[in-house]
Amino acid sequence: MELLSHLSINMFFLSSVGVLIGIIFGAIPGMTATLAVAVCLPLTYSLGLTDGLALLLGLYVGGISGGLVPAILLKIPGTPSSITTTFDGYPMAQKGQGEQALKIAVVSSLFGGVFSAVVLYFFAPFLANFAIKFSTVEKFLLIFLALTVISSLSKNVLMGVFSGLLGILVSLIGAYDISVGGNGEYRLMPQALEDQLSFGFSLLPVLIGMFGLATIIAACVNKKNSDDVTSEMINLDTKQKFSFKVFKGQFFNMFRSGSIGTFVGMLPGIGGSAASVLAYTQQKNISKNADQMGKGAPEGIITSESANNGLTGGALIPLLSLGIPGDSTTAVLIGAFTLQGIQVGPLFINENLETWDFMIISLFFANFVMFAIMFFAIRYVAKVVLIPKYILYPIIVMMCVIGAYAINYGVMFDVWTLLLFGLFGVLAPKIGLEVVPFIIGFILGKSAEVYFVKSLESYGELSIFFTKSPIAAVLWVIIFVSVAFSIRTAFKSSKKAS
Amino acid sequence: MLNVSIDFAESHWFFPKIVIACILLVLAVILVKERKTIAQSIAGFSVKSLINHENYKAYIFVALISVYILLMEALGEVFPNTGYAFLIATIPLLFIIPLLIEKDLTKRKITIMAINAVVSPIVAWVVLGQMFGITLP
Repeated sequence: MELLSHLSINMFFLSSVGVLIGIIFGAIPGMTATLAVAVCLPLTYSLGLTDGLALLLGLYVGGISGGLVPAILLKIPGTPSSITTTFDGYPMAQKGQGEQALKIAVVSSLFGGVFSAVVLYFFAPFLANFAIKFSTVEKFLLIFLALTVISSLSKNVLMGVFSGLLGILVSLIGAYDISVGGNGEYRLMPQALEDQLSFGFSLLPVLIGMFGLATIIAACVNKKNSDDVTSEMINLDTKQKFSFKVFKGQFFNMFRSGSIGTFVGMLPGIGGSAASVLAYTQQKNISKNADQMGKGAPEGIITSESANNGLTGGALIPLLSLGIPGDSTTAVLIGAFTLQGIQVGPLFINENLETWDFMIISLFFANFVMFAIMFFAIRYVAKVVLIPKYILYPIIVMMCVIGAYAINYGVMFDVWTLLLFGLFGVLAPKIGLEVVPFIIGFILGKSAEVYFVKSLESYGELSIFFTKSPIAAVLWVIIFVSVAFSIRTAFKSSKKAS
Repeated sequence: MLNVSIDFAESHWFFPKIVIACILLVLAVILVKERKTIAQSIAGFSVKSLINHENYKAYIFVALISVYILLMEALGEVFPNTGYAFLIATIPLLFIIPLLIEKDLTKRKITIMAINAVVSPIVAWVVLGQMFGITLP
């Protein structure tokens, strides 16, 4: 089978290393899968695309899964997507069922991850083939739709919109690129920085700064006396041994939760916390044991972990078929393709069939490696939460600096960019700005300009955005629905507040 | 009215102007809608809220990274294309950072920090710089 010909020792090794490092990052509160991918991204340059992707996908799967460890043992979600795992995982650990809870979560994570990988394999090529027919008008409307969806699901809709627009504006800094039909003139920047900013801010230093360095700067203002975990705080008593019988009658729960996670992952900019919260709420509404959920019910863990690992494949669907990242981690993954000079979008799968096959195999493999490591070595994995921050954080700063510097073969201005956006990543939430819409706006801004301007140059009138094709009409319907939904949500929450 | 023609000489400002106009419009709506919250924040603003005993370490961290970058640039002129600038500048940085983060310092922790500060840059220089050929300052 042609798929199997892509297997190599390198792929297995790098994927396994990626999963292990990802689990460590995910298991330590304050560190995320996004941070793991951002910090390790520069390594992929020397590895080549396929080996690099094996490592990064391993980091992604491991990072999302690792968050269940502190969620269950300490009631602290290791990653945002593990919030709902704390609801039932921690009570189980308190009852002396910590190891059982961890293993239930690991099996559920495997199901969610594999399920979403299957959906990715069948749905992404279909979506990509459909998107190939898009003209510049539909491509612009798709980006516009992505930005309205992200903004409408922000905590504050107006600030979400503002943040997305700001991200777009920042992406336009620099020269209007001649290669995309621009006139080569500089804009939005002082003349003194023309040399450094001729191509604008580099994507990777911005991402590493906002997701990596910002975490460290924020740690310097942490009010708690000590965040470090001691061994007394983790409880792995084995009063009850793990048994697969606990999954009896839970298949529909896993299937539904995995589907919710996959679908939410497909929506651009939405994170794992939304997927797991939505799935948990759904399960609580229909469960026969709803009164037990939140008090240590295994089905709560099953729901949460199936959904948040379902996100992994789901978020890759819009990335690989439309070029629009599904979440912050896939936004960083764009950097891996950029490093290798490959553009993700509707043409990616057809023009890079080998890479596509490789990614699918890597994703499946990473899920099984995650299961093997976490299921059979869970007592050792649990000790990861004991690694002190005063050892880890300096190493992360060092990796961030290396990553920013090496991206463009040694440009110190990129390290200044890292610092600037690290500061921005800390200050933005304090003034109400939303980081994810900003990042998505920054990633998609230049493309939005190209498609918008080319549409007007080709057709000469604004009405073309409404009249071009039935696809454009459908996109407008979805845009209006998401805007209406956001206005309704904003209205409801202001009513609640008053 | 819906016809649009773009002057090529000024085309680099066409889309940015639209984005800026949208930003200003949204900003105006935010200022009106959140005027009470904004007024309260401005009234409650003081230098103490900007710099205080809880966040001064963050300012030190930012200043530290700035000095670190300038030091690497200067050392890079002395040791070009060797990665030594990275090595020499990173060791003290990696020792000072945990002093900012860690609240309860003990002799044992400081010793571990010092070992980490020396070992981690050397490992990065060898593995990333020499083995993987990644460009280091």
